[in-house]
Amino acid sequence: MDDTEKNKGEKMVNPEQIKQAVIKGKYKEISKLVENTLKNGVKAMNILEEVLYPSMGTVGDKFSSGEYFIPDLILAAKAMQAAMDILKPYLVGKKTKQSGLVVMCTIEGDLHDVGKNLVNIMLEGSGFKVIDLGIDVKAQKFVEAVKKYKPQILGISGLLTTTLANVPKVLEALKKAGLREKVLVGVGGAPVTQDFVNRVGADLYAKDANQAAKVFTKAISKQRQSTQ
Amino acid sequence: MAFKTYGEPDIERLLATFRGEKTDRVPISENLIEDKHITHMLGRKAGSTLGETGDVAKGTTDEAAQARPMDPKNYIKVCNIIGQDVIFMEALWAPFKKIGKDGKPHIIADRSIKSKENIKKIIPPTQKDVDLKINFLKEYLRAVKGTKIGVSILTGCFFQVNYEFVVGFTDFMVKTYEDREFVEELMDMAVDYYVKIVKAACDSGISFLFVADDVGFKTGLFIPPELFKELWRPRMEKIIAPALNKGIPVMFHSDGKLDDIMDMLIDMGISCVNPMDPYSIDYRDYKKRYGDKICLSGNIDLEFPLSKGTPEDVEKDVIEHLKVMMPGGRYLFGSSHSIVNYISIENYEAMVNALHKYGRY
Repeated sequence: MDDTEKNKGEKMVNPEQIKQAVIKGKYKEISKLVENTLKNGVKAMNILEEVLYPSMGTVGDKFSSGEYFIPDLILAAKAMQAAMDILKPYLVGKKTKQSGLVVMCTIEGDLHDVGKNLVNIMLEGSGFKVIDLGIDVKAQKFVEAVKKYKPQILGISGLLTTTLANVPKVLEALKKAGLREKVLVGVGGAPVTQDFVNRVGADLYAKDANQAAKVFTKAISKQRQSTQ
Repeated sequence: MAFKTYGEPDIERLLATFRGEKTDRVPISENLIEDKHITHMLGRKAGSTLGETGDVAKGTTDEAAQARPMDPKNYIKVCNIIGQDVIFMEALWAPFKKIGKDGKPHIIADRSIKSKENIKKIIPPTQKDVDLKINFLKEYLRAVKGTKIGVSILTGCFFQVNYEFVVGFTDFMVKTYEDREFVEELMDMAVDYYVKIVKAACDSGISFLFVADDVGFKTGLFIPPELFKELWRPRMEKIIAPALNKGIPVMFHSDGKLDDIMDMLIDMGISCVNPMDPYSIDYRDYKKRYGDKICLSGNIDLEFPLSKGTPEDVEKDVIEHLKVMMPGGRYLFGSSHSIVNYISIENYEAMVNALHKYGRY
């Protein structure tokens, strides 16, 4: 499909309208706005990288500052998804600046998934593809997932101190399988600290969902620079 | 090491603390002590303080919804060992059911209720469900006669039961914006059950009511405070009204940061807030802001010192808490959630002993 094709009959959409649609979670209205913008000759990649990603960043910041609440975050993610559904055919085969693959889960023994789900929302809204392994995931399943999906980042979430004791098991299993150098491991959850991440030998730490998206984006970009 | 306590359990100590009156020492309370610690205390298996089977009575299965609470005699022994003034009877989860594939009613825990049409499938809790819990409660009340130990009922989570088991977290939260009728109908069904439980519990002679409903997380409430107050406050007021009307104090539990609703809780007539989640609440700050208006409870961190620290770390942290929280009273000592099995026996003993050693007025 040619995303530069113009349809002069369509009303010109200000990118700010798309941005506001994400920020206000208007998932029912955003598809039309994106379609019209494409028809007016704006490239899909520009809409994605210059309008949608920054909008989700704004949403994340509002969530971190306490201005936004969980429903706001979920609705913004729904709007983002609706916009992406329109853009997808135009982006086939094109690599975006922020695209990366993350495998997410909660650690073995931990059934708490609210934090993980919020991180998923922010990651997807920031352009990551997320494969969610769910809750209570054992070390061997991590190894299988890394082999199968080849993610850049493995995100581990945990709320309980005891279950976090299983994080070193995952790192050890990855090492044994010869995969440790192939994937960055990020850990988060209420009792997790940067110190904990350093101690167990993981790579990335984020204190909340918004920060996770920023930290992961930075890590991927750094990784790309070092391989170029 | 062994438990070294000061002063026998006495519910008057705890109730006086709610009122901000002078007591001999800071009272201690845990709504759940898991089975490893109970086995250690009693020298035999006796379940956890919320369930005889040792599983936390989470109401997520048909069996758990019917499970017996801890044997009252065992619970009284536990109170005497650690110096706790009250025993808690669990009636947390409104037992919503629906017909399963086998044609029989089963507890809903699969988060499958997503629309008003789905609500029609719900079989609301019945009087039989209420009676089951109240009969257990009466066993407790009979058992404490002749002791100074009080009895409380742990109940009232009409918000959480719906997002956790009935609808699912993200769908429920979005529906608070997009389909208020749906969430209000579900909450009202749960409230009806809890009101019956509370009325019967208050008529039976509980010492205080303990309502628990997790409404927030690390950074604040799940939904905006104004919306929360509209949806939650009138319903919780309905649940606690039978207690307040009889002069029975009410304690409230929610994990997370509660800054946005602390004044509201005080205004509602709540006497005590638990557990002051240390990942979002600085107990020093809360003591300054609310310590003369409401009893504050908990905050000894499960992560550090209770799980990761040494008994010396635990003692040091307890002393620091007591130094801040004791002046002016209104402090109910306890952990930041519950005494789980992953806390070492030594650390829990150190926590209890430090309270009894340094928590005297």
